[in-house]
Amino acid sequence: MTGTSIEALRAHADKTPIATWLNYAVELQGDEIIHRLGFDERHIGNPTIRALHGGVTAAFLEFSAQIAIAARLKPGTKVQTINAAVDYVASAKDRDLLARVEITRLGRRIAFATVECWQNNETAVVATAQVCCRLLP
Amino acid sequence: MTAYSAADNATSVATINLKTDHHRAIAAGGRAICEGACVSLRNEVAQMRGAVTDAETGELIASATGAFILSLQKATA
Repeated sequence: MTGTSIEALRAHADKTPIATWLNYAVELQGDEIIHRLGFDERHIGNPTIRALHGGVTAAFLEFSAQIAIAARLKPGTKVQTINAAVDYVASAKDRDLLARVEITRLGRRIAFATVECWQNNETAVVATAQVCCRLLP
Repeated sequence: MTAYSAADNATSVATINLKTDHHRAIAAGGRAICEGACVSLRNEVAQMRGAVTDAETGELIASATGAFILSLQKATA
């Protein structure tokens, strides 16, 4: 456990329209926090192979990192992405995406997070991201 | 889209990686302009650069570099 309650994560996620668009949810699997993108037709990037759009994957990874970071901070602290680097390891199919966020460092002004996501098999990673955020009181 | 058009015989494009730098926020409802350019195209890998600017003020909103793998149609003899 990261010391973050699932309620704190949900409180942050519920505030924003992007969460609705992504069909985003957080859940507890055992003692681990898992972020979920609920698949929707609007997430398709390539209709021929029914693959998720890379931008959707990137937005989901970045958003999950922001939520995980925000939940660890004083309420009201703004979390602005400085940059995000995404590696598309495999193509993502037309089903839910699950993600795990590891906060590498939570500083006073900056936070770093590594995110990885998968679909049906946890060991078959679909994409990974390195996200760096500026923290503003 | 620019990577796709950089090679005239590309049949599909897949993103390998993308790094995005966020510079400033744009107001909701604002208009944005996106430009993309091909930095290099070699061994079926297109290295691209792109930027999003505010259509009204011209200020930079975000910039990105990305690598894309292209599937090229074989030249017919």
